[in-house]
Amino acid sequence: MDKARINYSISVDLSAVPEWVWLLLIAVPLRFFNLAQESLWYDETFTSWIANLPWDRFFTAIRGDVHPPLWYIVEKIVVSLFGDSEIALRFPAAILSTAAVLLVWRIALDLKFDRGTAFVTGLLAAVLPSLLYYSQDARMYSLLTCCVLLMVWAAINDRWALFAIGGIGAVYTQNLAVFYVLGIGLSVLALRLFQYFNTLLDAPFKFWDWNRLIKPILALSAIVLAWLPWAVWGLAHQAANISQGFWMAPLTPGAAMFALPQMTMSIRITDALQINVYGVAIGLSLIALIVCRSWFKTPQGLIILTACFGVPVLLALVSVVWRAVYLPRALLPSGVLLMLLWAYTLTHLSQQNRRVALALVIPMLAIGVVAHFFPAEARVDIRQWAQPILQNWRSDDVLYHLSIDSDITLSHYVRYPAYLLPESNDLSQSLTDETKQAMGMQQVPFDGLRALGYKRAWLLYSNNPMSSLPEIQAFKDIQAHYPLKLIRADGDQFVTRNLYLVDLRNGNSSDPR
Amino acid sequence: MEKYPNYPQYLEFLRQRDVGMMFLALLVVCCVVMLIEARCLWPKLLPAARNGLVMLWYATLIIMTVKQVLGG
Repeated sequence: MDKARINYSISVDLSAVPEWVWLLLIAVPLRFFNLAQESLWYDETFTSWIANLPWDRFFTAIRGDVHPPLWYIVEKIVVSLFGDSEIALRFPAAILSTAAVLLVWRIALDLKFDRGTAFVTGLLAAVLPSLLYYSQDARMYSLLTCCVLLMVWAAINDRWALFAIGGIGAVYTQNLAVFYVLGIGLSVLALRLFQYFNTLLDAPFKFWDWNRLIKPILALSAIVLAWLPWAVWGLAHQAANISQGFWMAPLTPGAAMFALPQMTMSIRITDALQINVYGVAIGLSLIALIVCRSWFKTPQGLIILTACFGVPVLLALVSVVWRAVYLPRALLPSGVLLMLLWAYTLTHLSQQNRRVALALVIPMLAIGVVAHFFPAEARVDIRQWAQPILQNWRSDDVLYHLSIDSDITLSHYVRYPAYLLPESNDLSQSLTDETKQAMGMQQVPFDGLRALGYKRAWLLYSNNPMSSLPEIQAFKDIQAHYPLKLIRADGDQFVTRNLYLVDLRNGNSSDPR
Repeated sequence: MEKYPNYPQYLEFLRQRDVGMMFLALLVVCCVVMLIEARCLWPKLLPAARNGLVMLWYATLIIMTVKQVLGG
């Protein structure tokens, strides 16, 4: 055969590549790039600690925290299969966040958006900085988003069994997901009842399909029934515990508004650019409300309006009349669903207006993505804090923490004996004694370390807005009675973190006994 | 609250941030209302108002970026 005469020609028709493949090609690299770059922070190391517990202590520990068990079960399975490295712990969130991109694209298609608008919706979700942030965070917010998106998709398509599955998943992922179930479920029920009475008034003898009302009621009942065991055994216990603390600041109008830019453009935008970036996010959302106003009157539009704006408003109202429950990150699903409105607006503006909108939105998103990967204020690198301890550790050394956060965070990287101040219970990380016990935290006063046979202590002290008086006082006592050698220190406007090496043999006990 | 002596200072910071956020939201609402009004009342002014806002946005973005880079 004359090889020279063979004409090799490879032509790829890019337009034949399905939209979901393009979305995956954009979403996956963004979510897996630098997945292990940053060290774990408090919430993630807490997840890791819980996931490493044996099953008998696992549920007891969760019961004394503030979240339901589903995410921790997912992480426990992952940890048992792949270990507890940063990549392994963040892997489920990255996968679920990718699924959320495809789900929101699918919702757009089922809302009968044209394919271009649906693709823009998926594209916006793929590069949305807040979703990116939580895709690289070993916490439950990507899972919550997937569950809520599944509920919305199911409600739009009258698939009530899937609605129930999404709802049960959501309430077992985050306690505040109850508001999504309530908001979306009740808006569907109200709409169906409205339609029924309209039909009754217009044509009293016309057949009305009662399944349209019964199926959503059954789905909501299934969610409530499935949720009840957790509500009685876990949530009631958690609510009683957190009522004594207040790790969420009281809600103000500005804080309520802040959730919108936070859950779209993320919290990593540098201070200097926040006005520009957040301003565009608020402006685009406002214009989207105006552009989509007639669409909101349709049954499907009402569901999206409820999920995007109704649930945050409901949460804000509950925070005002009852107790502070307005946690912006629990509103991530609303931020992702908002992309439907942004995409619809961007593709339905006049050509002139669209050009102007794109001139603002594209740099805004670019700043958000860059800020996510190269933040001006990155998380504290706990691995650097662990380094001097690991390098200079002796067999008669011990770690001593004055606050829970340093204990939980550092224990992931330094797996040596560690003790915690018994009175430690700061404002933001108030774990119950039951949880501390189940987690195996050992609590002794600093003066008790010498009696346990230790000669040197690595003392971690973080003074932050949430530090309690007993923690501050305990540090002052240690400082007064022991020679402290500063090993490492850093901090910012509100936080100072210090690592000391204390020679226990040279101290004079502060304990009068 | 007296058990957490550092907290009031942080709460004050949050309050200031929230006031800033409300101010920003009001500013954006004013801009959108201005554009809508311009479209209804002075259609010929609309392109100028719209382009003016975009230019203002870019100008502040550039100034703030330079300030950030220079460490101001």
